[in-house]
Parts: sequence; C-alpha cells; structure tokens
Amino acid sequence: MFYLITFTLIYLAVTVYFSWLGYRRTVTVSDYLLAGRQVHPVTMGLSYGATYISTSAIIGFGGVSALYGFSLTWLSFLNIMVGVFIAFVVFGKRTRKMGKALDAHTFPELLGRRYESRFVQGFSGLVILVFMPVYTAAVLIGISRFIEVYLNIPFATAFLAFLLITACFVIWGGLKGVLYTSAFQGVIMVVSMIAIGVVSYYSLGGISEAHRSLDAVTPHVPRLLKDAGHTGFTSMPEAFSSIWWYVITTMVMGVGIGVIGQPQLNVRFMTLKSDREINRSVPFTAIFILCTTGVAYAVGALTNTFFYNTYTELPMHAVQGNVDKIIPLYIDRFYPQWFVALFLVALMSAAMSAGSSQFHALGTSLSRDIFEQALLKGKSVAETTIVTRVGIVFSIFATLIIGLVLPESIVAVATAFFFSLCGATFIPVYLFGLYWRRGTKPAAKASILSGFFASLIWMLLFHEQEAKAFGLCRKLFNTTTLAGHPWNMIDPQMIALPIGFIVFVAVSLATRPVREETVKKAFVHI
Amino acid sequence: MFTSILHLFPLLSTPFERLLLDSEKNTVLIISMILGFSDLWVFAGFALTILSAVFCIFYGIRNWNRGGIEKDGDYREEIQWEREEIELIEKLP
Repeated sequence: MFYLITFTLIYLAVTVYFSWLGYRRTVTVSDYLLAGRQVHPVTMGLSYGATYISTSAIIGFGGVSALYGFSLTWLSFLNIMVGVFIAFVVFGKRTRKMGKALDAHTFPELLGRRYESRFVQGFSGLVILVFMPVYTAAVLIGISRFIEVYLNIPFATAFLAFLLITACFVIWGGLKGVLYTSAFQGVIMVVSMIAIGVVSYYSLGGISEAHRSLDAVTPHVPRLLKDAGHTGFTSMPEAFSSIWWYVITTMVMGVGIGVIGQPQLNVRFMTLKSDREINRSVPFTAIFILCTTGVAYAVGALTNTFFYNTYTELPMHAVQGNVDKIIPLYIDRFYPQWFVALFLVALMSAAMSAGSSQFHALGTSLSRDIFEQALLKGKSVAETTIVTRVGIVFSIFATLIIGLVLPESIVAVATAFFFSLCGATFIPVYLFGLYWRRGTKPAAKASILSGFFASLIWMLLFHEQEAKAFGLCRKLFNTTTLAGHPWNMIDPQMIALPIGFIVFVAVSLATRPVREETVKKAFVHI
Repeated sequence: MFTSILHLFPLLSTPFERLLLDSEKNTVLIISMILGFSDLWVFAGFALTILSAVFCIFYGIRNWNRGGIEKDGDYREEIQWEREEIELIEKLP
C-alpha cells in the first residue's frame, strides 16, 4: 500500500501540473480544440500512441491474447503499419493540410466542410456522441478491473472514482492539457511495458524458450475451444473455423483497420504545424506501439505458461472466464508489490490518456458539430468552450451508466465494436474526401448512412456476438441470428465497409460534384 | 505439419507453398523454429511487427527534415484564425 500511495501521489502531482500548464496556455478556442496547432513531434507521437493504446489494449487485448495466443501478433503488425504509417502518412498529412485550409476544428467538421454538408458533420458528431461512451467505458473498465483485483474493492466503486478523476483533467485542461498529460503518461506506459516484457521473457528462459514452453501448454487447451478451431498458443486457429473468423475479422482487422476512422486520433493531425512534424512523429509512435501492444499481446499469451507451471491451470480458468482479469491477476501474482503499484500507475496513465481524449472528442462533437452546426446553423459563438464542457459532463454520465451495465470479458469486445463501427461509417468518406475531388455531397451522406446502418443491422441480426447480447433478432425472428456459419462470425466492418465504398463511388458518379471553389479551397495546400 | 497451414489463406497459398516445399533448407522456417513458433503464419506476424516498426523508424529518419516549409500563402489561414480569435475574445464577457 505504501508503494501504491507514493507512486500514485507522484503521478497525480505531475499530471495535475501538466494539466494546469495546459489550462494556463489555453487562451483561445483553437487552443482548446486543437492545442493552438503547434505541437512538438515527440509530444504528438507519445500522446497519439497513449490515446490509441489504452487499458483496453493492455488489459482487454492482453486477456484476449491469453485466450487465443500469438495469433494476435497480426494485430500488433496492423497497429503499427495501418495505425501509424498509413494513418500518419497516407491520411495524416492530407488531414492536416485540408483541416487547415477548411479551418476545421474537429474530425466531423473536416468531413462536413469538405462536402459542404451540415448533415455529414452533425450525423458524424451524433455517432461519436452516442457510441464513443461504449469505448470510453471499456477503457475505464480495464483499469477498474485491475483496481478490483489489486485493492480488492468493488468494481463499481473503482469505476466511478476513476471516471471522475479522468473527467476533471479534461474539463479543465482542453486539448493542450490532454496532450501534455498523455505524453507524460505515454512515457510511463512504455517504461512499465518494457519492464514487463523483459521480466516475462527472462523468467521463462529467453524468447525461444518462452515460446516453446507456451507450445507445451497447448494440450491443456479446453475441448470447447479446440472444437471451435483453437490449435494452440503459438499457431493460428484452424482455417475458417469460428475462432479463426472471430480473431481475424473482429480482433485483428476490426481494430487494425478501424483505427483509421477514429475521430479522437484523426483530430491529432490537425494539431501539427507542418508535414515535417508528421514525419518526425512516425518513428516515436511506432516504437511506442511496439513497446506497448507488442509486449501486451506477447505477455498475454505467455501468461498461460506462468499460470500452468505454477498452478497447473490456465489463466482463463483462474479468472472463471473473465478474460479482462487475466493481466491484472498475472501482475498481481507474479510481480513484487512495488511493481504492481507501478503497473497500476501505468494503467492509470493509459486509461487517463485515452479516456481524456475521448471525453474531449465527445465534448467537441456536442459543441462544435451538433450545437453549432445542427442547432445554430453554422454560427460560431463564444459559448463553444462551455458547451464542450457540458458535452463532456453528459458523456461522463453516459459512460458511467454503460460501464455499470456492460457484462464481464467486455473490454476488447467493446473496443472492437467501436473501432469497427467508426471504420465502416467514416473510412470511405474520409479517404475519398482526401484523395478524390469528384466525391459529392449526396455520396458522402449516402456512404455514411449506409456504412453505419449496414454495420448496425449486421450487429443486431447477423453477427452472433451482438445479436445474442441485444436479443432483437430473437424477438423478431425467434432465432439467435439470421446467418449461419461463417457469416455469423464475420465482423460487421467486413460487410459494411465495402458497402460504404461502393455506395460512395456509385452515388458520386450519378450526382453533381461539390462546388468547384470548395474543392479548390480544400485542396489548396495539397 | 507446416503444409497443413497452407489452407489458412488459400489465395496466398501458391507462393507460400513454394516456400514451404523447400522448407528443409529454408532460412525463414529455421528462424521461425529458433524463435519457438510452430506456425509460419504466427512467425510472419511476429516478424512483420518488428519489421514495420523498423520501417517507420527508417521513414522518420529519412524524412526528418522534409515537409518543414509550407507552400506560399499557406500562412493566410493562420493570420485569419488569429483575427477571429481576437474578435471572439473581445466578445467574451
């Protein structure tokens, strides 16, 4: 307890200082929304990484990795290649230039101005406002599960306390506060994760030995999982089995590709001064992702060896099926108390950096995208910052309720849900907006709506995981899902994203382009 | 054992098959075994993760000083923002 209190107090003091620094330097609306558009590349790299990789990656996907093994390594590859390189170079550079030319302050605003559509901006803002709390809740559940295991306090109490702490920082600090604190939090995350990776591999005799010892645990995989396609912790699931479809389409591609449509990440590109800062941010972010997700997924899989060698049971049994508890339990059982306290601080960092950026995105969606565009018909007012804070408070309540009603083993699932939904809804309009001058306003509307609703319908009626949880399909058709294998296992994004692309191209070719001066303005720096 | 993984990705299986047919002498397979992976696809994911990070570092170093100068007239927006911000601040109570 001594270590915990000491580390937490030091951490909170530094975080408060950075948040205060951000608050003091937040003078204008642009400061609040875009950190004054002048952010250092290292700050950008660390804060982008810390926002992208939250507790849901470490706790949620680490736990999933304990279940499915090293097949999740493909996700860490996509995290770096798509989440960093493609996001920064292919999307980020043009986002920054177009955001500047169109004077966009939020991701929905960029889309709305590019297509001259208040509907596109308002609807995008609404999607974020309604569904992002699910992801925020997942991030906060991750840390709360750790506090529950470590301090033995009820989950609901831990969740509520942490939610309030995170919210306070973002309400006062704006994006500058968020950027400063998340860069600091990013450093803590990298150091702790590297330590965990080194200790885990070292105590199992090195990289090769560790992987071989994990291979030796394979015979103890439960029959139920083997029947569903599980072939071991160091091999891919059986081709086209239920687990294969789930791991590849939901866990790997859903999150790996869906990251491109994440509004709280895309807004970061608009905070940079020039392309040089983007170029310089790429290596820092890539190293960050490698050290955090790469380590989390590897260690997640290796927990099987640790638990089996010590307790002759797999971690999935030790946590009674709640995979969100595997990483917390592993740290709690196999590390000294001072390190557990340090790891908790690292998790706090991960949760606060991601959570605060999400609250910031939620607040700006309400103020800038819904309030100013939908209610005030595009009129800019001085009250924007106040409405942003109201939006944050609203989203805190939404997150609170969602967090308390979500079931167990939900962190990775809820994250994948939000990434997948954003991917299907935003990627086609975003990509074509940046690269295709011929894209039209009706096409943008149709693509956003078709991507969103195709995703939603697939979730409610076809994709077994959500269809079962919501129960709408059972009520309407008296069956769990309308689709049989493998369709019931294919992630909604795999279906909705191509639909969004096709709809966009087809409608664009059949309708009138956006006014020439708007297109010229949008592409003026490109 | 290794040929059993060919059907994982049928569309990609042809070049992979060729690679595996030569597996006894194949360095990729040897490295995979040395690293303790029984499945080449998992090894591929593991290797690609590290290679993609190295690629990003290389990209950053190579382009470290590129893109620093904006095109002529690119600063107009910044001047406009400043003007709008000042107006907005003046309106604040």
